[in-house]
Amino acid sequence: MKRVINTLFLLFVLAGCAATSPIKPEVSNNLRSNKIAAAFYMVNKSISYNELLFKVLWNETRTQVSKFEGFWDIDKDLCQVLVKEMTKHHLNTIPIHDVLTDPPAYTAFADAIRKPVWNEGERVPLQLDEIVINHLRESGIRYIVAIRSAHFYLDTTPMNSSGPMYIPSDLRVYDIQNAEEVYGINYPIGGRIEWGKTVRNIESNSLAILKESSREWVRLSAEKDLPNVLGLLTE
Amino acid sequence: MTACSTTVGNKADIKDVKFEIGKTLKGEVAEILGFPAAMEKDKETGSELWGYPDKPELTGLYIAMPTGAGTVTMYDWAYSSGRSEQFKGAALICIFDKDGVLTDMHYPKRERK
Repeated sequence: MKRVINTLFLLFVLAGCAATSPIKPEVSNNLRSNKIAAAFYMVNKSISYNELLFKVLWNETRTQVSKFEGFWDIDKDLCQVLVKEMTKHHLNTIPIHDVLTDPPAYTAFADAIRKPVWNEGERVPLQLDEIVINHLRESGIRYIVAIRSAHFYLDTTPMNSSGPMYIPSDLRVYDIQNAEEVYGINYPIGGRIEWGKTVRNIESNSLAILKESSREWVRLSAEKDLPNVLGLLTE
Repeated sequence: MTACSTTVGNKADIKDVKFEIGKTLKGEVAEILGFPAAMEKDKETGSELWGYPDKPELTGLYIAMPTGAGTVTMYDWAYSSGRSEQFKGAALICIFDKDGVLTDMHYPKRERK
């Protein structure tokens, strides 16, 4: 019965993926010919460790969260990676931090992107305040391409010295001229991370391992997946 | 089969760490214990509270039960108390000033006894 439920769930998820519409061609064309502000925002700046333990007569999962806010400006760091890759795809892109230099404006943007993205199974479009839109318009920005991430998520066991890490994320394209979101899609990021003896080595030396790995994951996803998602590939 | 013990808990045992009030910095605490499970900042004073549990939270249990000839069924329960989101249940709370210097430490579980 459990196997049937799991299979149905998997089919449901895949159906959801298949049902997501591709980006409109006019939006893709406009992205190529207009200025873009790219953003990366992690809502919970934390790592969720989930470990499966074998206890002979039973198994259990243990979870601990590790919050690193204040130790790594992950939003700025990974935004730079995103901008670099988008530029390689010939998109005129700058980091949103370079546009929203006024703290209240960036705070307004962060508040907007932190809001819940789902409501009763429907994606909630991004809505930006006038203060944000005006700043972006004044800088000649036509679109925001934003990756909104939840946190880092890792499944492991005590025997592992490496494992898969996920950054559940979605991608939003926002049209500044018309002040509306024009595209949204799930955009998971992640990859294999190696930590050696103990998994919390990931945090050592100011998160050195995590920083290096996540920069590479964002770089790879922007190199391989982003052109397809933004409709930039031409047959 | 040897039972496993968790590796996702704090990097060191809270009982064994020795921090100095007025001297130890946030970064040093993070290197020794790992980053905290709960974190709160006072925007006015700049002071920061860090909370650490004594062990990782139990969030799932799986038991295999024989349920027939040659059949084993797995029962599982998944739950979360939300403990890690707040300081409730913290075994250690560290308080830092705006410069990141440790100004106080509390052991709520020991203090309640």
